[in-house]
Amino acid sequence: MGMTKLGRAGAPAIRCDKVEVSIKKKKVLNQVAFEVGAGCLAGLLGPNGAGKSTLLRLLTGLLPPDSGSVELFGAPAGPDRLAEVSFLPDRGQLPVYLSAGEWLGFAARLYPDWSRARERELTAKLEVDPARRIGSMSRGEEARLQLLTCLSREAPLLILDEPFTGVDLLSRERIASAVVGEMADGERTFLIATHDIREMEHLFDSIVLLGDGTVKAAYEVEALRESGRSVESCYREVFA
Amino acid sequence: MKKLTEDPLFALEWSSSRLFLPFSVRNAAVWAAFLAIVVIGVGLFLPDDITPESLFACGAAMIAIIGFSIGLGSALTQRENPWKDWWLTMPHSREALVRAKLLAMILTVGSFAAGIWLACVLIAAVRAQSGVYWTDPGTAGRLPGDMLAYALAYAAEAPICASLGLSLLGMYSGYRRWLLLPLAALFLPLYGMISAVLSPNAAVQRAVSAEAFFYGACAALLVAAPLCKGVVRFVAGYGMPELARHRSNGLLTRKRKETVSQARFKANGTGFRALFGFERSRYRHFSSSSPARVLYVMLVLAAAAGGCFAVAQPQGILNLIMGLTMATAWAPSIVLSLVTQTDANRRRLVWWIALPFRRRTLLLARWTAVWATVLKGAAGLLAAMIAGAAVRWGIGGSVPVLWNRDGHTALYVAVSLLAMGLLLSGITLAYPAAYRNAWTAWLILPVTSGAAIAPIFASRWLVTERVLAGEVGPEQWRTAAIVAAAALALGGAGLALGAKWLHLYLTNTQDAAQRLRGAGRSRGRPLV
Repeated sequence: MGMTKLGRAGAPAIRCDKVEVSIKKKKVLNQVAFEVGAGCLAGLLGPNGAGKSTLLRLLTGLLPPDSGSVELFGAPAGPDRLAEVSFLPDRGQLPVYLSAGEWLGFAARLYPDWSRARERELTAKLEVDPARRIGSMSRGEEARLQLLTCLSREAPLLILDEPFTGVDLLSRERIASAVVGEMADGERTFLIATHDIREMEHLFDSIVLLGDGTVKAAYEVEALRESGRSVESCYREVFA
Repeated sequence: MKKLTEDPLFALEWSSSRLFLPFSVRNAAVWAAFLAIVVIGVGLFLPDDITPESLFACGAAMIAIIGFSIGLGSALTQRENPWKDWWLTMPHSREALVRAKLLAMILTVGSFAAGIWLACVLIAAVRAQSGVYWTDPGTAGRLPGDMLAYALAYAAEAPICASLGLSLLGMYSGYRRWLLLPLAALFLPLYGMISAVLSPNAAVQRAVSAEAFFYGACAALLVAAPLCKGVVRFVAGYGMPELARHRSNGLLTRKRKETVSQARFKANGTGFRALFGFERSRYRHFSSSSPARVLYVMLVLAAAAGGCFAVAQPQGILNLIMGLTMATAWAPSIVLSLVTQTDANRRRLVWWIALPFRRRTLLLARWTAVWATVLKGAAGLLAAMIAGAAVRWGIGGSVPVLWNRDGHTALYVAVSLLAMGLLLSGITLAYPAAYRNAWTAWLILPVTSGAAIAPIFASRWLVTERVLAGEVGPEQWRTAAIVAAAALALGGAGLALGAKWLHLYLTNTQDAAQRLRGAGRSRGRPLV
């Protein structure tokens, strides 16, 4: 499949071209090519084992591609671009021995683009108790704290890997609403990998469907709707 | 009683253990190659004055360490093992579950014991054949008896050490945590035993003689069965309910409060300083736990008492200084590799590696935090020792220390061990490069895993008996300078390599390794 361009015209926030990655001799990504415009909220959808997490790790510079190029805002992705990317890893863990407040104290010092005002606002919105130890939090509470960490930064690109995994309904709603709130200024770009299509369908501007390590399809959601289709129906067409 | 091979619980546990053992052609070839390397390597470098009894006793200490480590390793990883809930909910009694696990462990330790015994026999036979034991012609004649006596001792060690290691599972909370102290007192000295038993000293030779080991083994065999039964009951009664309550990736103990009234770890500065503070918070948290505090206070008291008594003899105080500073040689390397691998296994590493810092900065902050913690601990122990010595001096005890000579020796001991620690920890930084391919693994892993036996190398080449007798000259300082220069060069290379391949931790977790082994197993013949 050739290069698929999604979102506004101009310099894309994300650009992958003929990206290939093998892990332990198994090809995980094969000739992946797509673009996501700046200011978009894009969904990266696909079944388990499709290569979504690996692709996101390439975008954040955590893994280098074996071949092809990955660019963020027109320059190659890599560990030196981490100040521009706020990344929520899939089922990642924060240090269990710290309280939420202690972690946020460290995060404010560790991330140069940290916004204390945004942290205060989101702490209330996501109902995170700063005194609570991370090790005693429920999965939903910790997921909210992790999202709070990502959203309290002013990085122009936010990459969220399965933000809803193992999270209860109310926490999902809070997380989705926080993401929507962050999109209000239209300045930041979101790429969200998720299985929860129904939860996020109404939020996405565009979707990239990844299966067996290749881009199977990519759509502007508005165009899909105009043609009478939904994200879910597209997903079923491609993967069923 | 059901045959062991028909017990599905045992078969399940054994199916996991035997993946490492020489029951497949590939594993057998790896074990044979490793055995050949050990026999040739030890045969070449072992000094001529080492008796076969010392060699077998050294093997016994290694088996004890392996036995303890397998038991402790299982107890430590069980709580975070994703398989834990499946295991706990099997429709069998908890004693049956623990018994099956322990039996598989004992057989595993037994397999290692057989390998070590074979290596010792081969080394001793080759040395006897090549005339190394010419000073004591009776040595070769004693070999058959030695072989049998130590085989019995090795067999007795396997169940005792594996069960004691596994008993840790029942010591996670309550007053049972105090049992950690005797457990540590049994386990930690084993590392020192490896080199201690090699001494040609007459008292040591009496202690490691085949007769002594034979009688010791008979007594140990009598104790082994009741001890194993007791440990099975103890773990099933206390450890399993705690294991069932434990939440994966939660706090280590239930007694920790769920909330904190005020921040204990305050972030200061930005950039490297903030990163260093973040890394240090881990060790500050760990050292604030009750068992760690109790253990450290006991070590401080022991150092003070040691200083008070050892100051009566210059060699005594130098030995004590060596003991107290030895941790700087091995601890940073071990802590560094454990911490980063644990972070990867628990999915914490991805947050750390995604922090907006250069990877060299991340690694350097982690390395610095580990060193700051180790040096602080060692400094406290040395201060306690000096305080103890000062008390002795203050109450008018005789202090036959030649300050100039012994001060010089003490400085050499501390500096050389520090240089060794810097060298090992520097190489450990390159650990992720070992995941790149088999060649880099063969280069790096022996060094990083060798950190555990650093005291042996240190007492063999850096802080020898001659040094402790006060014979420190330019030759010794030259050796220390070479180690320090190597630390600087290899540490720099380790930092660069580690930073380059740091991301490989993400795809080389405990979970990934288990899946990979499982995938490999599916291609082979059935295990049960």
